[in-house]
Amino acid sequence: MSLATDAPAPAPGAGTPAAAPVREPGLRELVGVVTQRELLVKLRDKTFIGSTIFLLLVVAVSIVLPVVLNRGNPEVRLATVGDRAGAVATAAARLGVLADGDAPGAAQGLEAARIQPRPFPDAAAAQAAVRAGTVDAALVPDAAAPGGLALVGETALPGPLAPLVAAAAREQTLGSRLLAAGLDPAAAATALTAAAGAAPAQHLLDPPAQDANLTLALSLAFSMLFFFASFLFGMSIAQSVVEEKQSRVVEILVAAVPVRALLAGKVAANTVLALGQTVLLGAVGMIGAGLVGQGDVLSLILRSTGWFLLFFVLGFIMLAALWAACGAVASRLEDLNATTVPMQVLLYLPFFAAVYVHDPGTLQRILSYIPFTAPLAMPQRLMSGDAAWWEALISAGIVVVTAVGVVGIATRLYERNVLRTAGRVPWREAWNA
Amino acid sequence: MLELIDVRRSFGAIRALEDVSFVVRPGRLTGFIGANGAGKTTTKRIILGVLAADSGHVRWRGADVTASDRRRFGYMPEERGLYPKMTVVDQLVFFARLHGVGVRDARRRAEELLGELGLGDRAGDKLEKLSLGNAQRAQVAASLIHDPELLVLDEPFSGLDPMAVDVMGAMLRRRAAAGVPVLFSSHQLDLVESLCDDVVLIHAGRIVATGEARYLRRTHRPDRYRIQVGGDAGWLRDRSDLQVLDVEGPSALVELRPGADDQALLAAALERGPVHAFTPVVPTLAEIFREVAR
Repeated sequence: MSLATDAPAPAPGAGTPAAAPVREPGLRELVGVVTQRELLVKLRDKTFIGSTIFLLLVVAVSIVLPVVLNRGNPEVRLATVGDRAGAVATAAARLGVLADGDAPGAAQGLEAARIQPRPFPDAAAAQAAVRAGTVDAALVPDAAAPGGLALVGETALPGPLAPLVAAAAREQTLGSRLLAAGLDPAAAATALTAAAGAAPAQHLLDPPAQDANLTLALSLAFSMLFFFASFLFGMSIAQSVVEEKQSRVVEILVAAVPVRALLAGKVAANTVLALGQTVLLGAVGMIGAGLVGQGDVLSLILRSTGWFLLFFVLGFIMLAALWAACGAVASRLEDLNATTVPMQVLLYLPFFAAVYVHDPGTLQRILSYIPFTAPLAMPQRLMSGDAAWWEALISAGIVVVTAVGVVGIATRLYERNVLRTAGRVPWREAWNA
Repeated sequence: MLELIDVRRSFGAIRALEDVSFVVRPGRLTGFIGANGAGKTTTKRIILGVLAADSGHVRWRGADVTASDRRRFGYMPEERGLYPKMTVVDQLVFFARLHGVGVRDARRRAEELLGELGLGDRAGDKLEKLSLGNAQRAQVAASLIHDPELLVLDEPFSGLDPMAVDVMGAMLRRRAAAGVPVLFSSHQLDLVESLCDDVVLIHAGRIVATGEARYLRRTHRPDRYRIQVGGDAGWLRDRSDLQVLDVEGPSALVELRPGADDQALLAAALERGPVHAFTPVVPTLAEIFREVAR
């Protein structure tokens, strides 16, 4: 069926039609095929699976462990010497229990603690026990002030102890004086309760939306998630580009597929993986928080997650394309240390800026509109209630525009250097090649 | 048919290709030979669109080649490589899909092809576990997985044992017989000579010879004859229509001058006595190659 002749005459259509059904694949389909390969390779990679499991454990442990360790209130073993010290310690223990919870009353303003009074025969024995560490503190008659009490610790007194003991001593003294003044016990008790209730209630004109510490911790957690995901998956994009160069497979790929389809496939696959891993970590964190009863953490995460994920994806794509370009100018995996330096700067500086500038203010507002810090700073502002939704949209728009520009730059670098397999390409040359 | 017309390409100040023109015809194996650095890889990259030409045309079936034409080309680059950590069959399916073959067809094709190449039992192995020769076969399979309409192969025989060379040669022959133009380069010129229908010879970025291999060998230089006569062959030195290249007793190697008649020479030899041999000596490709590259 061929027109094979000796004469080099044009013979259009002389080749055989291919036997396998071959269609002209569209760009989207090509991107899909590349994406799928990247996903499969990564999902079968034992290192990746292992590190994901490890991260999940870290998250689970870091949420559950503090709660388990702090279960209940701090326990304070208090040695007492004499009846009066015993009575004060008992009252302090009662106040320490009352202080757990927000109910106003005698314990308002006090920190909760589980005080366990232990009677000792004399001050010397009690002090010896403090030194030996078998008790945390001792309440003994004060040698300097007859009738008074002294609280003895070794190097320091346990935090909540002194205020509780002081309040209990006040109550005791007041009660005994009231009785001595001739008040009957019931009236004395009423007077004491009234005195406790007289403590002014506390109101803030401008209360923080949530617990400020919680917001800070969560925004720090979000920043770290973004930072690590961008770093790890970005590095993995760069590595995958270099591996294709190093294994020389890239020439076949470039012959078959437009370079931007390769780039897009890598970015897409790693965005999916990064997002997937982050959502997984977030889910484990939320389940953990729910299980250990930190309901306020859960609701805060739920409220903030949407914006965080939006900025996560936009910011990640913006950086991912650049990671690919860093891979394209390297020839071997060892070159990556040098070629990814700009990326490390682009990640570290915004990360530290966002971590240090966590208080609402002009600086944070500026950071939330700079494309490279926006994915970190804007979710922080949204979480602390400092930014309106339209501000977030503007900031997201800035990131998108930047991402488009960056992808253009990265595509140029990638296209022009992905076939240069001899040595590291200097940036200027990489751009002008 | 693939045509290259006046293709030029420079890298900075270096002219890599200078007016390169040749054709690769359907149904034929075309050998692409030239020394290292002569411009073979650059030419192939331009055919595949991996590199752009500075000027000139690459035409496929009579029109300038398009990206979608190229997607139906099969290419095995000089620098070998597949994904080391992927299994052979997975990579083949991946490459097939990049060329628009559906997953199921890709799988079937991969199995057939690996069977044809004697690699069927290694389909599930990772590439990095394969020997050099088997990796080479996998590489060829990758270039054939989508039933290409044109095949461009860089050194498809390097690293193969003689058995594998036969398998590979037969396979290329089959593709050519099916009407696929096949262009391949090789430094194993005896192989090119025995396999190829056409030859393209490139030297320092210029095409120095192109055409049918037999014809090229015959026409590359004036006719030469090995003559064996009964007595001493020294008399040949006196004839003006030829040049004696070598003479030893009754045996001589002569080159006829342009326009000389071989039959007249034979007749003259017979007049002087018996003629035991009168054999045309056609240069091997290797000889032509060395001569050109010198």
